[in-house]
Amino acid sequence: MSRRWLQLLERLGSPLGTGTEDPDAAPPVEGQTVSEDWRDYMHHERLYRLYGPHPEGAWRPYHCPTLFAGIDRLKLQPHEQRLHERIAAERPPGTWDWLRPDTLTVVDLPGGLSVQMAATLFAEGTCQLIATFDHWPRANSEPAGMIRRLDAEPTAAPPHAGDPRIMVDSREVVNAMVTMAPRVAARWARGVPADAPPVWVCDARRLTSATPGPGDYDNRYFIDDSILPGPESLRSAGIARVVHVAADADATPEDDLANWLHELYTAGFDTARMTLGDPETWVIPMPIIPAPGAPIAGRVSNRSDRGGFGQTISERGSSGGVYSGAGAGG
Amino acid sequence: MRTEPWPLEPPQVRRLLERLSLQLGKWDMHQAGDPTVLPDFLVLGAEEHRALVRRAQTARAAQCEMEEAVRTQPACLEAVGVPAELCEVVATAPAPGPRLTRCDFHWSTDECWRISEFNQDVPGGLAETAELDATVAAATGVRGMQPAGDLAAAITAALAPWPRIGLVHATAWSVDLQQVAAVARWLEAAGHATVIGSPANLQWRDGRPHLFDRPVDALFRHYPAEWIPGLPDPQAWLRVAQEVPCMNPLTAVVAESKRFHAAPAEHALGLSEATQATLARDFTRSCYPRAEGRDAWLAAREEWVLKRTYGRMGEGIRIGAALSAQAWDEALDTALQDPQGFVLQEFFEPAPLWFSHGMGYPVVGVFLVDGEFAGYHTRVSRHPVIQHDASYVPTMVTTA
Repeated sequence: MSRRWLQLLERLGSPLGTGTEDPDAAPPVEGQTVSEDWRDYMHHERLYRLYGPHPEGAWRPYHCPTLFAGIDRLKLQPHEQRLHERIAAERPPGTWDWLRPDTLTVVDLPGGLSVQMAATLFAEGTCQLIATFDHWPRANSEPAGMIRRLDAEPTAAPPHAGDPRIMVDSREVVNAMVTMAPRVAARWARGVPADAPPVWVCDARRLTSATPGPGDYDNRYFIDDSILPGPESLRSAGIARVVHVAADADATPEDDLANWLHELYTAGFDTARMTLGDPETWVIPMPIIPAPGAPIAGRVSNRSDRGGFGQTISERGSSGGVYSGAGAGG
Repeated sequence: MRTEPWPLEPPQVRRLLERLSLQLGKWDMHQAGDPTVLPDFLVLGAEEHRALVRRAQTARAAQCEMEEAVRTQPACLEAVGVPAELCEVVATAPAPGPRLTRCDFHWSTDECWRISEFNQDVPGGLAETAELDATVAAATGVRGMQPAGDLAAAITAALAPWPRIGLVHATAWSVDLQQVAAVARWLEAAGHATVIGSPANLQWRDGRPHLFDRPVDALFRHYPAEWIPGLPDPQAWLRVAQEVPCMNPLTAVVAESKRFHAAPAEHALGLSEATQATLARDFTRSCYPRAEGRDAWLAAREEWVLKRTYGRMGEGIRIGAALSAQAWDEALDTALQDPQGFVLQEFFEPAPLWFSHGMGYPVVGVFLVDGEFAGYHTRVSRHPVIQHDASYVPTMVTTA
């Protein structure tokens, strides 16, 4: 056995139960005392579990680890973030009453704001979170001088929060996660049932329309059917209604979510929208009829100009309206 | 060959899977809610392992000879389906650079190993082969078997002469990022500087290739060669083919074509007897779709499979035996409308094995780096065709 192997095994391959796991990485259990300092939540595994579904619940397979792994690999140093004015404001009476066991929520706001909203839902209601950040902020370490202010309020509009050469700057997402982590941890400590209604957390900027230049880091991404459950899975889990949380009433979700929402609507699910700017919808989401997005078949080709590169794809995916990811490797 | 479940309780399996995901970058653990990592081992006997490696190496040597014969004949290059934009550079490129390949074996119902594909261009499963197999073996504490090969060491050794390596991948897919991120990690551990980007990030400045602002001495391409003509600046990559070491070189597009294996029967390639014998023994018979053969293929539907020339992950595969006569008729029609986009291959019936979740069809991939064995990557599908939703299962070789 080679030296490299032995090193690898030493690092990772020790038998289970011999202490290689970080015991603090598990979400707090009911009654546990939790830290109120956001700096105590910067470890990627801890964030992964805090912002993930109940470990015994049905939604665990859909929780996406990619961005969390990037925090570790890229040695990101998260910062605290100011709360968006809507998040900090007082809630109207009856807010979150719609968060019922038969309701799936998709928070689809720009970057850190989406995390702030989802964490607020989690902290103030009864639900569980599923992250969809299937990319890295940037695959290479930051050159000196490129790190911008990270403690700004999250941007309310796409496409860029920081470095304009990065298509989707999700450092802001990570900053929001650590900022909200003490509240999320405190909610875990009050007990979260395994069958709590699920809340998918998305970055609405994941597919910008800009065409990246050769010097731009293209980390746009789709949310595919490894992350979004289909109608049958949802129905068998007792879901009958989907609430889309968007920036405004006329918000058009990106093609991936648009196709999925349309598919669910045509399959008989109730669909509604809560908007950031209209507090009345925080109490009673407005019914919507979701329009389909552009048909793109991720499984059969190199996706599109809006999620990578290459030519636009004209075929619909084989899995209904939702993209199905295969990758370029054979 | 046999399968064996991980000797772990369900909570331990879950913790191990989380470890693979968060610490080793195996992010694609599920597809549509179903697990894509099976808590089993596929176990090869020591002699079986040696035989598979020998066959893969022999097949690869035959393919190398054939690739050289094909790429120097413009008409032949065109016939196997190499994109027109690449033909000239493929024909004139210097000696091939470092080469990473994966030879895929199916166990068939006539109880022998059949080569279904020889992935010559962008083989996946690198991180699984190099790290996950060993991690699972150690974490489960199994005895009497171990992973074979060291893919990470083989790749870093092949790229050792070049200090700065650029790695490119199709950025819309995190499953590809997880592959190149693993390779970058191995290279960095071996002292290389690495930079990861999309193939569209490649630029030439001062006579040198750059990814972003960083000059690179060699490239690791995890991006299909046949997609390069669709890039904003394909010329940058055509120049790479002439001047920059690249794993894999652009010439890999020749053998990656599924029409490649039909070439010996269609063109005078001047192959050696040994190569002809290897091709006849190890590869299924293939032929180009032609209108004049239509009736014969219709009549012998159950003997043929229709594949796309550059299909990936089982995309577009039509198995005659699994189709109605009408559906097969329509599939042939589609192929004959674009005959260069398809190939017909003789059908063989894969045999399933029992895994923890039930029956599955395994395909055992043998990684070779510059022709030397470097590891296994086994996937299991619920269907005879391996597609994107196939599951990874660690491969072990008995030590007793």
